Amino acid sequence: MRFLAILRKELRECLPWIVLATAVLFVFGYVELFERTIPQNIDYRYRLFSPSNDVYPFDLTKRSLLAGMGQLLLVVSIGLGLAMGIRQFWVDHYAGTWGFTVHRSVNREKILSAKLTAAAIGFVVSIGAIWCLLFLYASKAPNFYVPPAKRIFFEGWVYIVSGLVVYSAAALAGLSTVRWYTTKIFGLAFAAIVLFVMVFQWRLSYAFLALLVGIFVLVVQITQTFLNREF
Amino acid sequence: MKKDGTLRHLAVISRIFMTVLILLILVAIGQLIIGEMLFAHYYAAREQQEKLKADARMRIATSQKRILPDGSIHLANRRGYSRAGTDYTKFQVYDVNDNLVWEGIQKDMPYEYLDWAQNLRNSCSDERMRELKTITSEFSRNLDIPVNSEERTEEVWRYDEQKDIFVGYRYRQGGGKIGYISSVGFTELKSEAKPFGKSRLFSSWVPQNSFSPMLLWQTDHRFYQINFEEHNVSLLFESTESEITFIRTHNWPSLSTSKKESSSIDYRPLIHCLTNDGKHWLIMWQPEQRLTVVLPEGLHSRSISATATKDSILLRHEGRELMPPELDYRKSPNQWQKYFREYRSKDRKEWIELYKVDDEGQLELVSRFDWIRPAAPVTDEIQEKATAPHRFVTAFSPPLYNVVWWIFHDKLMELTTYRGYRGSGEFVRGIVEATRWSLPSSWYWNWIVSVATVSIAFRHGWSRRTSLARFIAWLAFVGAFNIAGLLTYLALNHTTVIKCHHCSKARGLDQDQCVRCGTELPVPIQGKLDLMFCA
Amino acid sequence: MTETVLESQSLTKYFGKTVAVDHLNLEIPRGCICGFVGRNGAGKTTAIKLMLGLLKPTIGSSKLLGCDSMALTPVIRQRIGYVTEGHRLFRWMSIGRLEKFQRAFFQKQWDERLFADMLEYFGLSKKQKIKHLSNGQRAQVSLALALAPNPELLIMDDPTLGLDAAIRRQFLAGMIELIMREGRTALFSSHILGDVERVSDRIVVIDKGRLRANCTLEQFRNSVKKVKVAFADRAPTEFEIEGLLNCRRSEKELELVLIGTDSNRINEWAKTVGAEKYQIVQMNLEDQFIEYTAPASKGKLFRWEEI
Repeated sequence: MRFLAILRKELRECLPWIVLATAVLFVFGYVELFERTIPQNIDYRYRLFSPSNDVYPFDLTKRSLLAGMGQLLLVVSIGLGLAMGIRQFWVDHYAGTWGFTVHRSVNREKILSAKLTAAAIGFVVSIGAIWCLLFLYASKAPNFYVPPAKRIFFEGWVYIVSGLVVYSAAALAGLSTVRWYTTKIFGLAFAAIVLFVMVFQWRLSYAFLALLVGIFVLVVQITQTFLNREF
Repeated sequence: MKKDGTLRHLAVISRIFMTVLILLILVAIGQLIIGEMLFAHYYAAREQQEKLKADARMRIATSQKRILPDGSIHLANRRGYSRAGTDYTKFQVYDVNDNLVWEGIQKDMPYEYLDWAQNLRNSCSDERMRELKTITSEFSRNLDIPVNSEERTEEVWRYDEQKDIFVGYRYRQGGGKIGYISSVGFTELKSEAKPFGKSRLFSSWVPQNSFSPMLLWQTDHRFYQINFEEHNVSLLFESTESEITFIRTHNWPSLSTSKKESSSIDYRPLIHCLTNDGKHWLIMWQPEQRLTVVLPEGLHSRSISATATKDSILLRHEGRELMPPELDYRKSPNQWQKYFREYRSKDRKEWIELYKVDDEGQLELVSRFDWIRPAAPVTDEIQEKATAPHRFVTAFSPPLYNVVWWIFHDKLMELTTYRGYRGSGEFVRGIVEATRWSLPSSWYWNWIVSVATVSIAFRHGWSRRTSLARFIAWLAFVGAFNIAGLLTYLALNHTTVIKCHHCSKARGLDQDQCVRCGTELPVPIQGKLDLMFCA
Repeated sequence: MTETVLESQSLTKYFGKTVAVDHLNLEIPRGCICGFVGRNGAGKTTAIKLMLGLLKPTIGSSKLLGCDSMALTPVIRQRIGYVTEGHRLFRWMSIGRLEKFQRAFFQKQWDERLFADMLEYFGLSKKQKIKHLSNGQRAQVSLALALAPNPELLIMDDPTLGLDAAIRRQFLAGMIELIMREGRTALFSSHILGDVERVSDRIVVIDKGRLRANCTLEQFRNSVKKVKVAFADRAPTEFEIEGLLNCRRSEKELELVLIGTDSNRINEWAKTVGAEKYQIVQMNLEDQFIEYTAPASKGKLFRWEEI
């Protein structure tokens, strides 16, 4: 009951950002997909060749039709991660409501769990669901003659989980009590490194592994900091 | 309580890992910047390089060794580049006795030299394909082969890495799958398709009378030609016992996109394949012929090129004196660098040989030319000096680096030599460069830096210590990671110290008692006039 | 023996090199209303946060309702009401929503009737959003939220901060009635000594992090005295009197602040020094507090001023 009360409160506080991310992804994603189905984009997607000509590998290795969606998904995930991290862990500090929150008759672990759960729900339900819908739409013939590869679906989830890494980093930065020009932003720097490592992976499993390691490193610190922090 | 302790330890380790990783990168970036600035400052004058160029031995060593159909060897020396194109590049041609036999621009050259089988044109290696599959920020790329008419795309064949087959789609209203192309050819059912095998390389071109690309597809053991327009797959070569090292082609009928129109030499289409067991396979057409060549001792497999004309089958071998075997270099990076420098500071013998191959695959030497490659110029020493200062302050301390070298010396050697570059994308090359720059070279200075960082950490931490074991662990950490370690230590341990009211020395607030005199924090004296009336 | 609801032992907190709370040894008995007073920066809020486990002490410990402050369980927290400094609440919530949120943590003990009565008393509606409320109204909501779960111990950090006189009086009146109704214990910090005087039966004075007084209000009021002594000739420059805290000297007059000195002793001393006449000045709590916490002169235990 108490956990649900805090969870509801956290979801309600993050709701504007979740709705914004969902709307942006849905609207721009749909427009992006719609553009991909316009005849001139379909017909001239693949290069026409002349007889007796060399062909460069670049001409045959095409970006997915959903490449634009990919960028959008990554940006929206990172944006939502930052927004939720700041909302949950920075705003309470500046608004001075930590005392009220932490003095609830509930363990600090539950408060933190509620915050993290709200973030996960926000990502999965908003961005995750929209991504699944858009990918299903793209996969269904005859929307795209050549449907996107199944791998792209999982790459989309890599981007969504990247947002969780950024969220964790923003949370850790918000909880840190040191000055900004010392180690306060190291969490964000670490998230940048993790994302950098992620984008250069060609094995999906390694990409997920990098992100999960990043999340683990950050969440462990978040937990320890939150449970022992002074408010 | 146990859970709390585990969480605390995990959090500490995570924090240290995160902080030291960021600081290592920052220190490495700082090193790179300083190194580049010093390198630019100390870069050797060009006159030394010019002097070397004028050295006849170097001219001979760097010239292109070209072979005439009669077996004569010419040395073609390029004199710069022309903006008008390769046809206008100036050349000087010498014979093996160093006599100038011709001078002029490429298109006017009177000699027609033998052409040799080359690596597949515009090929895409499996490493490059992996790079294409990197996730990036826009999803990965797909290998899509279009089947085009003159005006539009009719079909698209997509490579499925999981199944290792091509899946075809109709590229018009309605879409839908056409079928599958695999090692067994075209099938309508996925269950009938068999994978090609681990892909190594592919190359593509558009043949005559077609608007659609064909693929040459190389796997570990096989070499296919895939015609997507006709939905068929031809197996050109298979090695069941050993993996393919390389495949080169010459005058391949379908690859005649840039064949010289006016060639007086009547070449036969040729595929030259080297397998891991050292065998060279020559598959020729017009007429069809297949030969296996086993090289005699002294010939290096990878330095062999082949060509086939109507009259003969020829092999060309480029040899060089090998680095003398020295096992001691593996013991430490300093030894390795010393050995490498010594090798480069000696003249080396190199040669080129032309062999004729008979129908049994036996070789007959036709001609040979030897020369001496002079030692690497002095500029390398200056380069060493220029980059040496930055290595005084490296990310890793000498002891840690030595331990890493002792465990991973093979991999590190590969990274620090040319092999680390070959076939790699920009990201890998960047890592290789970063590794080279971070190699410590001047051990004494590095030891001094390590000692200095530990001393600073000791002075900082002595008054703040709460546990001797933790204090020693931190000192060891700082000793291992030098500057990054010291910065990490300071970032995570800079707690407040105050003056002990008893001994006036610094003491931390995390300690119950002063580490020096054992006194606790001062208790305020209760005033005589304080009104304390407990209930 | 009276039960202690709040106690601390050598409670100390350093912020950097600055000591905010210095070896605080405190005991608050059950059933009292305790005013926690001190100058700005004395360490009141820090001490309260230490006791509630929101800050970690550098050394020492404290207990609330018998439980260590650093290990307050949810069950113990349910018995403690806390009104934060500045009445920081979730601005986006309405009063009704905030009630629902707070109620989730006090399922069995939430007094809905009391909460509704309090809102009515303060003239507030559940539909009002927190961000639209004034400081005073937020203070009232905070008090209602803190009292509705019927806590045994109520801790309020400067609850009347920023309120005008009328609202303050209304707030305090409501507070007294509700606290006294159930025999709760309350600890509230304040700068406004008039409020403390109005509601408290016990006073704790903290000065530069150090505990200076912990007694009943009556004891404090009776102990701190100001005496004006007139002399026919020059007022003496050196003298001794028990309990001297503060002394202002003009040519013919001494104004003394004495702690714990009874009237007989004052009378005897006046005769000894040859005073012409003396008068015990009436002081309110604020005057007493100011004199009590005035810093001592250098080299002396008391303050000496030449006028």
